[in-house]
Amino acid sequence: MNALLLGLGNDIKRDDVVGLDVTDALGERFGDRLDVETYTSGRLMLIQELSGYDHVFLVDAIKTDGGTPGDYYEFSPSEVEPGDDSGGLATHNVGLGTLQTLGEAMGQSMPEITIFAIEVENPFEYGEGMTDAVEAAVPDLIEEIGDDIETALAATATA
Amino acid sequence: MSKKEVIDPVTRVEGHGKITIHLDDEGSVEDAQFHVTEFRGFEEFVESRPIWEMPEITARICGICPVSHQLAAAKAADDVMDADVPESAHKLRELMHMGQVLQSHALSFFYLSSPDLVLGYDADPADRNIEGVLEENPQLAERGIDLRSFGQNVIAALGEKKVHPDFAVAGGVSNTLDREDGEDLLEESEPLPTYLRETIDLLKDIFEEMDDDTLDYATYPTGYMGLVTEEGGLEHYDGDIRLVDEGGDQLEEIDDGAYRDIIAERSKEWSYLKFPYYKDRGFEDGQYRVGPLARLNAVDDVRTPQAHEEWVEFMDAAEGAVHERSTYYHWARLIEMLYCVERIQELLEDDDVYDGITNVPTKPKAGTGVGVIEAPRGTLIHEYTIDDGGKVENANFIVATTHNNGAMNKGVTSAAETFIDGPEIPEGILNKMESVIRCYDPCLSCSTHAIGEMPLELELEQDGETVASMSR
Repeated sequence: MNALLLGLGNDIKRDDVVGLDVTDALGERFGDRLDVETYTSGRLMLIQELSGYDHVFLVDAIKTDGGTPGDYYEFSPSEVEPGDDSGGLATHNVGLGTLQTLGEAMGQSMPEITIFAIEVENPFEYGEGMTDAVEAAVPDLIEEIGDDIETALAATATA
Repeated sequence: MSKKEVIDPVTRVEGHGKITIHLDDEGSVEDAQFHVTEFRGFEEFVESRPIWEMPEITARICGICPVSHQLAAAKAADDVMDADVPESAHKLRELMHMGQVLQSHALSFFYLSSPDLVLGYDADPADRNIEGVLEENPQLAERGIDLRSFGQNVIAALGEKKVHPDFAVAGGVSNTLDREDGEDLLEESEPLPTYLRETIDLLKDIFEEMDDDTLDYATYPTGYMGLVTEEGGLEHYDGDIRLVDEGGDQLEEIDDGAYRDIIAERSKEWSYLKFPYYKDRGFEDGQYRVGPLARLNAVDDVRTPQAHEEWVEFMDAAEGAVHERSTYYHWARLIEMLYCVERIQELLEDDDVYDGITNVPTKPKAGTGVGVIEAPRGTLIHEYTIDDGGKVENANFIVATTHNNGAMNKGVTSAAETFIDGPEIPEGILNKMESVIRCYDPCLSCSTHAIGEMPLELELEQDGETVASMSR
């Protein structure tokens, strides 16, 4: 399978670096099987980068109401695309799911995308270094997200 | 640490906009405020760091226009260290900047604004997006993608990366352009002027058919500011700051380092963004706008042939000497895209971008330096004071969204007065409000990446109480 492991984040916005750090570490485990890249931009920039892969594993930071820093979520883009009844939520932005549809409509081969989103505490303040809770979770995140990717790769191989 | 299986997409927190509309006792709109949740603290973050780091590090303020911050920082570093930057390096910087402005404008117009313009503000929200445009007018959507891609390819050819390229440095740039890349870019650029002129014609038709309320609800007099060449021509990379009044008459034309002579800033407790204004006129009368509309209102000509022709037609369509309609930012943005493509072509034909000297050594000395550039959304100012070892003691940034803050507030007030009467929020108002703000294409969050959507909240207040609210 032609797959990409892509980390998103900003290394000068405190916890926002976590997607980059986890991806860099996972590069050691998967570097011989996946393309591994880190990127400091939003999804609108990604259409060309995603095109041509069968599968993209995306590692990013997220902040949700009441979430516990260091936890992570695994989901596909369609699970976070606003619905048609959302009163215009999707009007002025382009989600990853839309990006897939758009890319396909443009004749580009778009991948299946799995998002690993890590709950963070402070991705807003400029500065280097993560908050304690997120930093403490990084070793486990590397291992568990790595195992999830391993499982996905194995499932694809046997499919 | 644990793995969660459920996610609520609307809880993704990033920078967001909020509009508060104040009603008087009779329920009429008194005024409206556009609040921005802004990431803060960047100025403090850069203190004590070496001035040479500023181009690279300030580029990370924004994932949409990193090149603008990088160039403004490099220009400020040149200024404070008296670097005699080679002409070839200036051309290379301008080349990358034109790629940046082009790709950013393409994102703004084709991806974010064209759904409203092409499909109509009242179209079904489920269809009013870039996918809807692709279905309604596939050629337009495809051209938008081509234009954006070309701008990104210019950046990547110079900086190796499309975002956060490591290119501009104090004293110049890090490398020249590979000649083969230049030839490829020239070939790729060939159809783009035609794409843009046809899109401008399409937009003019859309405006022709648009009802007056929609066309005019964010129309108001202000000053207009932008960089100009010595001859008064359109300039995005380096020039003097020109400010014209609501009638198009020149108020100021100053060296960019002297911006503090004409601009003051005021804070308001309800907004993280400051409100800059033209000093001589005071806060109430000194509001001005920046960005594509302001630049085209301020200049005497646009320096490339096809863009100049379009600009002449654009200005001829003004009722007075300048355009006041915020909706015409879109028109101005397309003309600027045409200018960018033509200017890129000119620069790609110049041997200096392939063979010129890239940079000169820089030596620190205590002092203050200013770098001003026309970012896609408007005038961007970086100012640094450094010590004699080159460490930043103090930094000040004024970004385009800040310059336009007063104007955006005027815009939402004007829209509220047109569409709101009484303590109820009419259907579709959020989209109309957003479309006003969207004209200015503000960086609401400077967030580099986001999974969720841009949240927007609207509250109606009367006698200090919230009487209605809506959010998404």
